[in-house]
Amino acid sequence: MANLTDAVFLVSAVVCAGCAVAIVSRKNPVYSVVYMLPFLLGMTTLFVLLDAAFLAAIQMLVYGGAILVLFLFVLMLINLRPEELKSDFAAAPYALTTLGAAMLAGAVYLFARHGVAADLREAFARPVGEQFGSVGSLAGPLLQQHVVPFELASVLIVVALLGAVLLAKKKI
Amino acid sequence: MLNSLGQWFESLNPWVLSHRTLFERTLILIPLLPLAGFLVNALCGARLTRRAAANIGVFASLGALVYSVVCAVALTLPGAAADTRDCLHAVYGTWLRSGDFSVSFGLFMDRLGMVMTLIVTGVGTVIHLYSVGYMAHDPGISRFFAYMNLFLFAMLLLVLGDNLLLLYVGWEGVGLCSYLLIGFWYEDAKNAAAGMKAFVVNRIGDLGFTLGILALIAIFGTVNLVARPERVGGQRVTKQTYLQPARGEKSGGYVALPREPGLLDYGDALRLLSNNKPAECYVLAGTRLPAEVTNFDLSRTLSARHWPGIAITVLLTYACVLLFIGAIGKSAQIPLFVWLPDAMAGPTPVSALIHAATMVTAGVYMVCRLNGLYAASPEALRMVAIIGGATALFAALMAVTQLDIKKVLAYSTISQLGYMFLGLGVGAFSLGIFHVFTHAFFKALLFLCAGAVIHALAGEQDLRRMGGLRKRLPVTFWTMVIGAAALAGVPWLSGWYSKDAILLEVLARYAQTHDRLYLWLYAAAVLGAFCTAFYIARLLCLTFLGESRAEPEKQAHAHEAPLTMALPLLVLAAFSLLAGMVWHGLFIPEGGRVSGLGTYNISAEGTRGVERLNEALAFAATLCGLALAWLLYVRKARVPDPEAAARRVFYRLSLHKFYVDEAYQAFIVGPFVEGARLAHWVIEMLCIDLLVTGTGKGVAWLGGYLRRLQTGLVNFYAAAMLLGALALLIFLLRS
Amino acid sequence: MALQTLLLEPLLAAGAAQPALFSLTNCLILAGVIFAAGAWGVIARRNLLVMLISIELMLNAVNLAFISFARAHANLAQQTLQPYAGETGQLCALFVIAIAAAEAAVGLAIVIALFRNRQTVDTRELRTLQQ
Repeated sequence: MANLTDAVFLVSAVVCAGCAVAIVSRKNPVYSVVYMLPFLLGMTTLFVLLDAAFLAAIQMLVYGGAILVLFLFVLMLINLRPEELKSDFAAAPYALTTLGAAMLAGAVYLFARHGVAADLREAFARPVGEQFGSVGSLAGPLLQQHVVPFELASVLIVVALLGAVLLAKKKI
Repeated sequence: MLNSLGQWFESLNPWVLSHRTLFERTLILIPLLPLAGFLVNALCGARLTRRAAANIGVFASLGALVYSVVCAVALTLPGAAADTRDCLHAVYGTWLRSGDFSVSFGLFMDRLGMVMTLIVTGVGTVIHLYSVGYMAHDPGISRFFAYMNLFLFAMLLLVLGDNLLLLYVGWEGVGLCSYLLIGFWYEDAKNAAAGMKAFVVNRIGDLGFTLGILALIAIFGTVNLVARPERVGGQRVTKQTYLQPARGEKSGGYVALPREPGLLDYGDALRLLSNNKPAECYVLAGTRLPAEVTNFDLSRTLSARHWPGIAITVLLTYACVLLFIGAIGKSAQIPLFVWLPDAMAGPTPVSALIHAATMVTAGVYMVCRLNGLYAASPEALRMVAIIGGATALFAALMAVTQLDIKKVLAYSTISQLGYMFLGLGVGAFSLGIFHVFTHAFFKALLFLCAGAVIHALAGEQDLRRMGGLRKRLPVTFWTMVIGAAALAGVPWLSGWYSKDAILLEVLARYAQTHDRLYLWLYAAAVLGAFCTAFYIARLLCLTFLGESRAEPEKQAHAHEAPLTMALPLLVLAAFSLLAGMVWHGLFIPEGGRVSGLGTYNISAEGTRGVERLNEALAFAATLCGLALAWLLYVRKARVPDPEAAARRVFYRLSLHKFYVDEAYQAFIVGPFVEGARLAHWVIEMLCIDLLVTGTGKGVAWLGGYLRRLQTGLVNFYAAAMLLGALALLIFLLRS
Repeated sequence: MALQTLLLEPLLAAGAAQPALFSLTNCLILAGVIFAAGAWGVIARRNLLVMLISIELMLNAVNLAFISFARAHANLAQQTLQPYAGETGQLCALFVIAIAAAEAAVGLAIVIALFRNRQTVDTRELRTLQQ
């Protein structure tokens, strides 16, 4: 029996990968949206495993709480007729499926064969400090070294907000 | 009364001498007046009335004539005491200058130039007057007179120019005017084609002419035909002054002093080359200049060139032959004569002026002007003689069977030009000019009479459809008889003097050197004279005598020419009758070799026996020709019938002009056109169409092909982006 | 007591051993797989909504990669002499999340506007830019 970490990692990885495949392959977009939730849960678990506690929380809050909800609302607004769900491929299905399989294989092969630098791998295996990934440890660099992107991100969000409202209005 | 007139003339002498500079400076008026006439007619011709345009043309020409006479008088007034090499000379400015080589714009008139100028302006004015009547109903009359005046300007530039380049400018100018006037009625494509043919064939000759000029520049470093007058010690120095007879030498020899580069003329240059031994400058044909000149560097008088071991005569021969090729083209000798018969497509006054009296004689003038050079290269003179003699004979043979009245006269012109070159070729330079002089009168007369006949018959030119016009056109008939007699060589008319003199020189040359060539040339010339008499009498008989063969309405309308057309005929007839008698002394050297023109004839001396023989033979030839023609066309009243006589080989050869035109078409024009077609295919089709248009089409095709990338499908664009990012990633990772 | 020991000890023992599956390479493989799935979804699906979700998938995969490397670099901080090496990675992921949110909002607004005008979210129908 492997490590607890290993087990958790395995489960979350399978969930994530499986949900990812399901999201992109289900004909009904409702299923795609729904499968997003387990996917996000899986991702959150992975984040926790990777000692990024704060980010895991943020991930769940933002993605699961906001983005997913948005998707659901929009899904509601789009009336999908049943016949549209027949075939949802943009081009020849066999070609695209082959392409998907190739991409998958490529992704696996790339990392399995070539791998990562040894020192990184070795550094990964060692445990990290207690404070790593906490709000406090992130706050420092965020508000000191990276304050400019932080501010710009806030501007971006305001702009996106305005843009989304304007774009979606019936009458400007 | 004549005595007092002469005395009055003599009294003008001092005034003329003292005002010589005035006459020299205003020499430019002679070509300038026709130029002014050209400009007025060309620029304002559309707004002038027909009469005004004609008047401007005639008076411009008349003005040039009057002033030429004035200058001629100024030149010759000193009378017997005058030096025959004297000239009026004025330089108006520098044209171009390049290092040591400079060309200036200047005009000069010596005896030779005077004769040519008077011919050009005299016959020109007469023909201008004739044209007033002939072209009266033509809508393009102002254009006509503009071109005629332009022609006069160019021809006067040719004969008055003091350097070879100016002569060449006039040479080209007359070629241009010939083209313009031949194709005057350009709406008919045949006329335009004839004009082009004339110009192109002329051009071929001009290539040789250009190379000849360049050769002369290379040898002598100058193009001047006459030395510059300049001031020495405050006093004006003319050729008379500085060309002093050397002490102890017989008069007639000169010693030239070294001058600035570009100031010498060719005669002086030759004298210098012969190391100032005057007697050797004037060589007899058949002997060479003594010096095998190994060093050209004679102080600064000639360009400092070193031609080791090459005899000057070799270089000169090349230059002279090249220049003569130009004369072949311009004066319609074998093999470049094919344009002259076609040139008859132009109006008859044009044929009379340009293709009989003046333009075609430019080649003769050129050779005579450069007689010093030709005298120094006997091989070149031989070539001149051979081509002249051959042309004289063959053209006469071609004229014998022609059916068009103007074509007969055209071939006659070619033949007579051959006689002129024959005279030049045996060294009798002044006799060639003499024949130019007389030929101008009677040939222009013949052409104008033919024009009157054509005018009377409303455009009929075929000899087979003429006849019986003697009673209806008396003036035309009798003047044409005079012209024909002069051409045929009837004794004591002008043509007899000049032609006999030339034949005498040829025979005398044979008698002196026993060179078989001259015997053949003489035989050809005599045979040509026989043919000449025959064809011109044939022309007269068919046109005027016998029953009328013209269409009835043309017969009814046949009327005599109006006064403006008849008067020139009378004037020219008078000159054809008397010119030989009055002026033969000017051209034929009496004792010694220097003619009244200032040229030195290197021809042979004829003994009394040779003279008598020549006279007899020439007279016999003329008589036989006239008699045969009378026999065939009056007694037997034959009418030319090409189909019936086509069986005979000689007849066919003659009628078809010895198939020269066809030969040119097959061997020269045809391949050239095919080559042009090939070039068109290669260059235009391949290069331009393929490369240029092809590039455009290729780009358009590529664009059409690439257009399919714009699918409008978002997925496709996303895939493209992914591919691009992947490629970038690979590129970055690899490096 | 014995049961506790029986259950806990293996767990504790298991907790004490080195993880074999949980390695940097495997995390990255997973990220790659998710990214591939998302990329394929963008290329192959006609439904705009599913395309947007696929984009979110790709962003998540990238986040996973960032976090994994951040953890590795956190331990390398003394060697590389960068004081905040690990935190930087996590901050990148944070920003990605923020931007993803903004982008999702705007993207969905566009989908709504598009649907309002064309009554479809099928990319095959929305081809006005085709030449």
